[in-house]
Amino acid sequence: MKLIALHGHSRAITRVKYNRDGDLLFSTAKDTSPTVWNAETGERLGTFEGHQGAVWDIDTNFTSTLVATAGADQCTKLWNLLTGECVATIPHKTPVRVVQFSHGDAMLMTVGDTSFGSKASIHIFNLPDTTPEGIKQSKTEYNPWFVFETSEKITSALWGPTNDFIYFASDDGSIVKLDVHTKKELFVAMLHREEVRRIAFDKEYTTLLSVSLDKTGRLWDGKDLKPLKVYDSDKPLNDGCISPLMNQVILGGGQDARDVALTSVRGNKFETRFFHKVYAEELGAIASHFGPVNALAFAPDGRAFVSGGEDGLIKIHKFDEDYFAVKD
Amino acid sequence: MSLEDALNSCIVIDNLPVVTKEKYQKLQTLISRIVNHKELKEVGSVKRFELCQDAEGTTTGFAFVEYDNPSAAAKAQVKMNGQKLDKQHTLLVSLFTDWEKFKDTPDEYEEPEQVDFHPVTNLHSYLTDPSAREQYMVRYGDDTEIVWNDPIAFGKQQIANKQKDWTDMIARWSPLGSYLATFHSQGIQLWGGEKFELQGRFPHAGVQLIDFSPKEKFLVTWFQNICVWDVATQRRLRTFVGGPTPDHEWPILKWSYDEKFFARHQDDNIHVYETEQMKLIQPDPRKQTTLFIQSVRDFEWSPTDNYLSYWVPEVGDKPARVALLKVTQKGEKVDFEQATQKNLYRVQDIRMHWQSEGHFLCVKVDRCAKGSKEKRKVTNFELFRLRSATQPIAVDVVELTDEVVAFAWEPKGLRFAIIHGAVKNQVSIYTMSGIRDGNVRKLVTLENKNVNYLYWSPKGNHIVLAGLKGSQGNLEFYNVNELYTMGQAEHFMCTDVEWDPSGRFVTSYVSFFRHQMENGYYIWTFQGKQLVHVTREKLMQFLWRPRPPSLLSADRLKVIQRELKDRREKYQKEEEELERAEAEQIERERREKMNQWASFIKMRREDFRELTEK
Amino acid sequence: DERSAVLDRIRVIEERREQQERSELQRIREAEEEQTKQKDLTRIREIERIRREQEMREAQQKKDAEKRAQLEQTQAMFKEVLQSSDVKVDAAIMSNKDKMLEISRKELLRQREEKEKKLKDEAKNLDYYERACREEERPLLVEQWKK
Repeated sequence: MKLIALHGHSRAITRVKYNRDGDLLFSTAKDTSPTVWNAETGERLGTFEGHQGAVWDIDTNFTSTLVATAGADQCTKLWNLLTGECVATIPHKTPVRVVQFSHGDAMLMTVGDTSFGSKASIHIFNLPDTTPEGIKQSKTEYNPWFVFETSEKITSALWGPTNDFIYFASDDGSIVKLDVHTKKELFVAMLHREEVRRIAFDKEYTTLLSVSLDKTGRLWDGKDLKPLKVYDSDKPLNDGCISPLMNQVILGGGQDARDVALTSVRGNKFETRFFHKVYAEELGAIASHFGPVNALAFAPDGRAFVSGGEDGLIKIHKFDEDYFAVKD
Repeated sequence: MSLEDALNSCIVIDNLPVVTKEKYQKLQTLISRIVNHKELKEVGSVKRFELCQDAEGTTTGFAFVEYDNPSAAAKAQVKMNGQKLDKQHTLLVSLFTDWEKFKDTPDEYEEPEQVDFHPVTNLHSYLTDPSAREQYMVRYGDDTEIVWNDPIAFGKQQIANKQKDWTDMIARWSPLGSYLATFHSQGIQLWGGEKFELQGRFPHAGVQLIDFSPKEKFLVTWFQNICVWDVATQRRLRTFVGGPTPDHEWPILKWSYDEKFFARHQDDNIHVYETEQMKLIQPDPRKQTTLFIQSVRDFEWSPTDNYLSYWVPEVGDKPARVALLKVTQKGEKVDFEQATQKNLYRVQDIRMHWQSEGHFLCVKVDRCAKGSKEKRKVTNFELFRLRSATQPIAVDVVELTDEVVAFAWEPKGLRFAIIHGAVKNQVSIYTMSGIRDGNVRKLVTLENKNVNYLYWSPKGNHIVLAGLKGSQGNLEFYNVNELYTMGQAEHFMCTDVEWDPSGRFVTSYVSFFRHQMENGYYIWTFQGKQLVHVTREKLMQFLWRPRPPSLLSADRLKVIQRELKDRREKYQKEEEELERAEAEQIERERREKMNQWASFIKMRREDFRELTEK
Repeated sequence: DERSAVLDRIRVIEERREQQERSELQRIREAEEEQTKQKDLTRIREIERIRREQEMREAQQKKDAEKRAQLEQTQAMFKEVLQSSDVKVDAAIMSNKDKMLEISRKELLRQREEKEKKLKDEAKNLDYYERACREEERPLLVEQWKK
């Protein structure tokens, strides 16, 4: 396994994500500088400067020209990837937890946190244009045409296989499939005993992986949220990912920072764990962080994965050839 | 309210003074004041209160209180139970429904009916497991599990029984493993047999401590009072006042190996009771019996003979002494005979350790070094041979000038191990060389061990040296016959170590009682190879189930050892068979899972195709 | 005129001679200087050479000492490793570090394997003994229960 360490963030990493082509890597942290990296070499290509606080999420459009970020400073920002220039700021009433372009990039979904009596909310905005220049020139007032509110804090949300559905997970352990047109909760899965930290689809949008502080990862049927698999870890989990290439899922997490001092400090054991997706058996683990693993992403070709830790480090792991030789 | 609810809403206050008609009113007012005390008012309102009288108007020692619902009654029971009325009377409060069950238990000892007791269930079914597995009890959160540990099948753990809220506090195995004792607010329950059926109930409200006699015939329970029970008939045989204190640690009643006697250290004396009548043995006043030994500090029974060892501290010019007392019984008559004694000087403290077969007694004596002004402490180990031709005699002294951390006899063996030294600990292992005679001789000293606990295998020879509780959790598995380290391991934060009764496995665990984190257990082989690691939140207890001594004679055991080679092949084949079956099973399960997965994915892809074709 | 011409010539000749003498002197002086310089250089070179040789000798000595120490160390380790083994050793091996290392590597591996095997045998024996005892005890327990 080849390891590339990416130094640049000064605080805990919150999210890592590849673009569709897999040549760019985006990261956000509890600092104010969302960053884009060369996914092959690990070279830092640039940062997006303008947020006033931690940044929770980042997304890029189909053609990798436009970038969206979700800020704890109560706004979503759109950026020109090439120039790093902020082309639009969409104000929110609460910190923004999630941001994602819709299929086709005409819409943007954002999630606002619960805060001071405000409920958690999912918004969908129509974008005036799909190019940074077009957005910059338009004088649109950003008003969401879709707002859905719920009292539990939403920790993770995703567009479904089509723009008709949104899936979201909450701190009460629930996962919901939401109909965008009727705002109806079509299916609710309640098997996690603690906060769900992230949900992620496989590349075909058939199954949904959820990871929770209850130390389990779970795989669901994307259609009706019927439970398929349980991956048992012995540490609270923060992020997980389904391999686009192998029958594998990776899970990352670790004990809360304040508890760490009391437990296996000597072990420095903050691992990304590999599970067989179908057998739900643990295959192995890679320890590459000094703090809990907060964020994980597979490269679109499945030949590498990236992890971001509470320690502020990002590591790209490129698999050796013998990794791909493994048969089920 | 249903009758059942009504009954459940009643409590019974027992152990009240018995007074005549004239004093009835006064007592009623007194009790009523307790029942209606404002702290008790909070639990619920009293519907009815009655202090019972017999035909002459004399109270019977009971009172009934009815509350308006069962939960109030239950709360009141807990709050009121154990309250002191006066010096002689402590309230014994039980739920009416429980009291109904138990009220027939006589307070005073009655001649037991001579019926042979036949347990309906085979309490020893676990001993005949065809795979020669061991059982253990593990308690975490509200769950209690009885688990089989399979020595050959990949350390596979198979749950034999699992129950929620099986016990309110802790659980204990009886010393031979026949029963699992569970603690409840109303008393102790014993469970046994293949499916752990209820084998007995011992009502003792608020019970906190228990102890069994060595052969499980008697059970001792404590809360405020000490009760001795017959396990088979569930009869209360006798009650004693008092309980554990810093000077008298639990168990307070110490049993002779054959359960013929038990003894209690009280008023600087040893009180010996016989178990036939549960009576204190009155020593023959004509004889200068030693039973009136003054100012005894502590005593211990030999685990195999009716010998008592005790010690008396220094008083004025009189030296401290350690002595052995032989207890003999001829028919009804019980005699005490001083077997040996040894005077000791400048004694600070003494601990007595019997070897498991009663061959040896080691008396650990903490003393001030001779002539030292700054009170340098030395520790002497005074070793007695009980099987010596001129028995029993003190033979040898091992003196250590550094701090002694731990001492332990090798079970069924000739050797003992000591951890000593304050910072970098040393472990020294000595041998008695022979049962009857021989020189005490040091076998080895292991330097710089950084350990503070010793755990001999119940089968001897192997010893685990452990650094626990504030130490690293380092474990060293040492072979004493060959004096080499078989393996080393680390279990971070480990608080407890437990050998299984066969000496094949060792468990280390982190108990919730000490740490609220990393709770879980490892099972190691006796050589320190990891077999199993289980994490359990709120893991509180892990106890291997004891086994009674083998029914096979010593000679037979020797023959088995000698002819072990002949069985080797058979066992190896069994193991291979098991391994193959296990591997096949895994393979089958995987194939099955993969097939299901493939058909699921296929179905979803077809859904998708239909959707796009539309 | 002729005289003055002769005088002139004589003077020129004189001058030339003087010049020649001067340059001869110069040449000799320069040659001498050159010689001295050469001599100095040779001396310096000689000193330098001696120093270098000294250095090299010392380095060699140091290296030899190190090598000897290493060898001794290896020998000690080697002897310790071979303590409980019947491997034949001769002087040639004892002076060859690589050889010793190779032998001890093999020996350590063998010892480890041996220990593993021993441990495994012990573990099996203990387990088999326990199982054998249980097997024999089982009918007795059943009988006891029937009673």
